[in-house]
Amino acid sequence: MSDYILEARNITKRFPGVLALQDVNFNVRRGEILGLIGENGAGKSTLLKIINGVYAHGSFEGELLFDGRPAHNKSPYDALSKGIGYVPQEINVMENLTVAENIFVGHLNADEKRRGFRMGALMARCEAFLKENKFSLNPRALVGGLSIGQKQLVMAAKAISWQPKVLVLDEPTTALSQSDVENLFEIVRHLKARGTSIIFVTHKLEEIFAITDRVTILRDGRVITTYEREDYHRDRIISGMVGRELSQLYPERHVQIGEEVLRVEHMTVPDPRVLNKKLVDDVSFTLRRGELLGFAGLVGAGRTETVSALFGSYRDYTADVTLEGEKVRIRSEADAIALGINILTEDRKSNGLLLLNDIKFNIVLSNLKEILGRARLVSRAKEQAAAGEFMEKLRIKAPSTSTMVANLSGGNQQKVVLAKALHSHPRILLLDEPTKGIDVGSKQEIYEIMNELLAEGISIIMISSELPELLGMCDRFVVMRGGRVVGEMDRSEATQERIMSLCFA
Amino acid sequence: MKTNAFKGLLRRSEFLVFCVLVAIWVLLSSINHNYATLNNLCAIMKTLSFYGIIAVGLSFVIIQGDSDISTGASAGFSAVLGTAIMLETRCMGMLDTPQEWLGVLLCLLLTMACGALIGLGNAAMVVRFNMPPFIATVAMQYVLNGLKMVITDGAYVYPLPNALLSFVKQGIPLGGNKKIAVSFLILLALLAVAHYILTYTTYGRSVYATGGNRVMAQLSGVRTSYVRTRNYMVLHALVALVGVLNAGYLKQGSPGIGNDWHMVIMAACAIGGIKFSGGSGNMIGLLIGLFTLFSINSAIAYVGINTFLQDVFIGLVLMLIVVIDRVRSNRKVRAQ
Repeated sequence: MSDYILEARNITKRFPGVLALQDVNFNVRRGEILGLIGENGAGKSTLLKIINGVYAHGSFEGELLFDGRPAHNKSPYDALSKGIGYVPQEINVMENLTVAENIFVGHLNADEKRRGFRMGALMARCEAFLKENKFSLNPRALVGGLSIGQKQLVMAAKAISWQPKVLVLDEPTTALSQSDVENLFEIVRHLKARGTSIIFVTHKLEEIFAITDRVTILRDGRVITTYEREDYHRDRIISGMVGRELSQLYPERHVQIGEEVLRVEHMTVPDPRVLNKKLVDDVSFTLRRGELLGFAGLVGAGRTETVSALFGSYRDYTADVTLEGEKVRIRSEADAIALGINILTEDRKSNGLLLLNDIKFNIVLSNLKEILGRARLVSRAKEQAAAGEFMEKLRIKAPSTSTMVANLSGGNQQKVVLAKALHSHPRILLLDEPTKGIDVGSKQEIYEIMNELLAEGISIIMISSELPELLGMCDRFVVMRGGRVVGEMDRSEATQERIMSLCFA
Repeated sequence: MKTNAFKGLLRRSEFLVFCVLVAIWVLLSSINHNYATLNNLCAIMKTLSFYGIIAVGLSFVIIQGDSDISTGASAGFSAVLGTAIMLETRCMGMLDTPQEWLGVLLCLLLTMACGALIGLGNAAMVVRFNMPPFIATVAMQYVLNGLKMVITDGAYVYPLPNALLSFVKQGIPLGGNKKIAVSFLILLALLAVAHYILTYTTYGRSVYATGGNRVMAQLSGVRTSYVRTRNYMVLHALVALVGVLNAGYLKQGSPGIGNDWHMVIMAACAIGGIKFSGGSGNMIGLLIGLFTLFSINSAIAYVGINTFLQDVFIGLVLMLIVVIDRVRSNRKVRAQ
């Protein structure tokens, strides 16, 4: 019996014009948790797709061994039935079915020969399964009503229900709240204890330290190295990923904070779907010129709802908003933009970009008036100039402004969303998880850009679920819990422990 | 540079449809020498103009990510309503006076305003109450089909004022009894205006953005509800115009006007590359699509095969074009 449950030998994968993987060797031991880390575009996704059969045997060079034997995976189903389970990064669930149906959809019957199935039996089976694997989910709940984090857990449960020998988790914690992450880690450790091997793909170093036994670092389609747990060293892993030393992740800033530009008092946002429930409950805060205000809190604490309401996305809310000394009432997104407020939403793929349009179309959309030329017609030259300026300023890496946004990397897409927001000349910028899902190198660039904007006198409110990021960047913090503000502190008073204890309380 | 431009042309879906159009004309003229004549072209232009004017309005609605299948019913309703208004008000009291044309025009505008209200009704259902456009407009279709019968008791409305009858006969003469019909000229003007709006105005950008990703457009400050409502209203105002013009052409307000038009119009949009997923399409493609569909339509008379086969051919061309377009766009994404 081979030591390794899964082994990749000399794998090379070419796309037209791109060498996605180059002579990749890596392996997974039985019953270990292997971390796979690398920047966007490093080839992680391609490698995973080869492992789980999306790229069928024959479409790449090299050999994939499973359990010591060559694995010629023809399709994801083929890989799954061999014992390779895969939980993709994107949420993909059937919203109108129950948790149990979602989990067992491929094998609703314990007895495969039977055609009909009883819901009661399925529920019982699912309940036992969830309990055994330490999932905190209700099998009878409709998936549509679950949080994003819980949906992610449903997808993990679905893969685990096939009792795989290797489970691949592709950035599973991106959408999870802290408690969901804890639940997931518990599940993963439990699987490991039962002898399942896990490939854990992530951007977050903390998670590598928290849960993995070994880590393999990918960069530019190659395996850079693999470290055993006792050799883990933060700087070493980072420099392996980015290929250079990251002097300081959070760049220094010397900005004179000016007068108050925004005052929000008694903001209350009722839940549009649930009677008498408030998403945001009597929230007040202020923001000064050139200040970076951080909103800390757990997922669901009302931070996103607060900035969305400020941006006019809720029809129904009450608040006294004072913008540069004037009382204003923001009824729509267009109102907010006209007043000099703009937003970067959390989910850039679904509501930040027109993926099938080009870069310039996206950038200029937030302020079309500015690209009008003679006779109030759209001027191609002005459009090009505006887009080109932002491409340079934000260092967007693309062949031209006519490149389709879908073809950009995550970091560059995020910069296009930012460029779109900046094109409307905002005085106040609302950033909801601005570095979510992007690699360390791009993160640092985004931080630098934020500092430049602050120096120009723009004020920023940032929401982030990564506390180190908030602590590293913000001047002041507002901590939210259950739709209320539970604390406010300056940079000098803030510590990770203090904020976390307020978040949980 | 030149080869790039050529490659760009090849990659455009309109070019593919244009090739199909040329192929149809070449093929049919080799079968029957009378097909590729100015006479037939004039006839095709006249027929397609009625559908085309509506298709221009519908294109906006499709590009914004919605759809509308009540257009045919709306045309029939407007034909009956418009002619009934002309008869009942005696062209605003100007019948048989030198100002009769003014009376006809006022009645037409009134009918178009009513059409806009129909569009507002559709928009209210789709935009305000979030009904799926298909269901909402099917409901509207039933209402209008019923109403047009209620107005006339199922009878034809005639005689129509001379000003209207003579107006629809106008056109640019091309020698003999051939002419480019006035309705086709209206279509060309509308296509030009629509092309200009879509390409060179902020409103056009808003329409594309709304169809491309409504939430994103909203977050970028586009007033999507306004855009969608306005397009529905313009669509049905245009439908009303077509209804009245078509009644004039038939010399009576017939409740049968518009039956099954909605399917023809949607097919023309689809062939013309207006994608039903929203966010893309243009007026040049639409014009080519219209010509392709109506060239097939008129071909049957010249080829001498079973009339019922014409629908089969239209269906097959639609399938062919959409499938080829899908295959090509899939390949494009894969290569990148």
